[in-house]
Amino acid sequence: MKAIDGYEHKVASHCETGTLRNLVSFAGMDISEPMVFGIGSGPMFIYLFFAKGPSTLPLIGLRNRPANIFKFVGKLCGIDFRYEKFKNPGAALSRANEWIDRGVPVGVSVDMFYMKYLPIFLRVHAPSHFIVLVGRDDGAYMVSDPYNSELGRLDREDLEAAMDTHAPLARDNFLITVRGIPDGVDWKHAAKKAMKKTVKVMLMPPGIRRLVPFMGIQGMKLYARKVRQWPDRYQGVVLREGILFNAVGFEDQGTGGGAFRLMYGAFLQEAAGLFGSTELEGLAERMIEHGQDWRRLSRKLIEIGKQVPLNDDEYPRWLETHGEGMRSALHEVSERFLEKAAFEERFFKDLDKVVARLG
Amino acid sequence: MIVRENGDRYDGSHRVVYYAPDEQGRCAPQHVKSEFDEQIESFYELREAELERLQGRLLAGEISSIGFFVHYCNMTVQDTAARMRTTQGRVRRHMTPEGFGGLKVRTLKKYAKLFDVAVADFFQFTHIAAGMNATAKRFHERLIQKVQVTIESEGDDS
Repeated sequence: MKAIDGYEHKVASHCETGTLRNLVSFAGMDISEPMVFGIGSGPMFIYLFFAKGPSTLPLIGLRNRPANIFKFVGKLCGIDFRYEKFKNPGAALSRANEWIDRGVPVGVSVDMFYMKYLPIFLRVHAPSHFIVLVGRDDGAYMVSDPYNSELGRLDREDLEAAMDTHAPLARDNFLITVRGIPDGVDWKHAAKKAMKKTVKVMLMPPGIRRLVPFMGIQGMKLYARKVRQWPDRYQGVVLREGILFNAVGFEDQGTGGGAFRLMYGAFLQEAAGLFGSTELEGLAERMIEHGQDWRRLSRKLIEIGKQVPLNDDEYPRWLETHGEGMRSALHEVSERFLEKAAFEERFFKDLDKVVARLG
Repeated sequence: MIVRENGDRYDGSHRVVYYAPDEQGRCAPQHVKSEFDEQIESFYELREAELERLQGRLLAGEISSIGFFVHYCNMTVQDTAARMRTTQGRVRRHMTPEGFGGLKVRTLKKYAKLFDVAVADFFQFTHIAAGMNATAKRFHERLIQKVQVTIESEGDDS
């Protein structure tokens, strides 16, 4: 199987930003992953205390809704993305075949569970993973997945299952191609608008904050307070794996480290260069330090989680001797997350003021 | 379901992209080994322990094969029901041995697609001893499965 001529597979920290960058790069536009993330108004914090995902603890979202980065970057940069939705995977793949045969790479939203070229620990039921189809033969496709160092191969049967999930929030049988890119992009305008939007979603007006207390800064505070309750609500392996999953989720699951905050810092540095703004450069440094501190906090969570025994039978006895220590460690983590929330509240208010002063 | 005696192990080859400040203070991407590789290794151990625990519950008649795979694939009843386009009550019933007994082949095919297994995997565990290898090929929308068991050749560590 051969990839489309001229397509360059590049890894990325996140699937949607990486897929978008790889698609527009093929179309002739040079853009970095942090710039895609920043212009896509990526940063977010959502603590879905009422929902459970692959972790044993409630779901946490660290970025905006899947496919919104495509939507925002397309709009602000003038990139003409073609979105096509089909009733079934057969129809979607017939269309995808046409594009591939014409030499056009096709972005697809899939469930990671069926991506057989990935190691087993990454193959969870996450229905909003983005990949690019860059080649095909009779029964298989060549896949450019930002999480995979090399181009992967996926059987048609697996791809069909991955595209047609019926999962909540999934974009089933959904194709993205680039119809056209603009001659020039007003990067300053795009970056400014995107920063304003990010400030708005992170801080939110007071009325909305009360309605959705699990989103943005409020969501971070809620999460921080819940951390203290973990030892009362969860036990044994459930507690251990939940803590570890949270920490690994902040760092390794497509965030670029520090729950996307380091990537956002990289975006702010690039934006500061565009505007020649020392104020924005200063904010970028603060965000990068914040991201690095988030990493330190994730390491602390890993330390705490690893102390919990792997075997449920040992847990009650372990709790008698180590329970107080764990409670106090989680209390400290909770305090530090509250500080992180306070930092972000100040930071996005400052960003708002700096953006208003940019030319 | 094919269960290998030696189990799957992490080969340490996975790399992730982290952003970190370089010498000039620019936050740049680095394609490196995960800092949390140790957790990945413990994932395999836990998965093996979970397989054993769930298999015990299945053989004791506490859960059905559907229940086994819902737990083994780390899914919730809510998510399973949404993906199967049925109610949570029905999924809960299918997760019991009694409810499983009344399932139609058509429904089993849908579950098989969801869990990425063959229909045969709901009825059988094939344990492969060390030194042996097994490959499974599915036909007719996961309804038929051909399992080929071979002796591993020297130097083959798959």
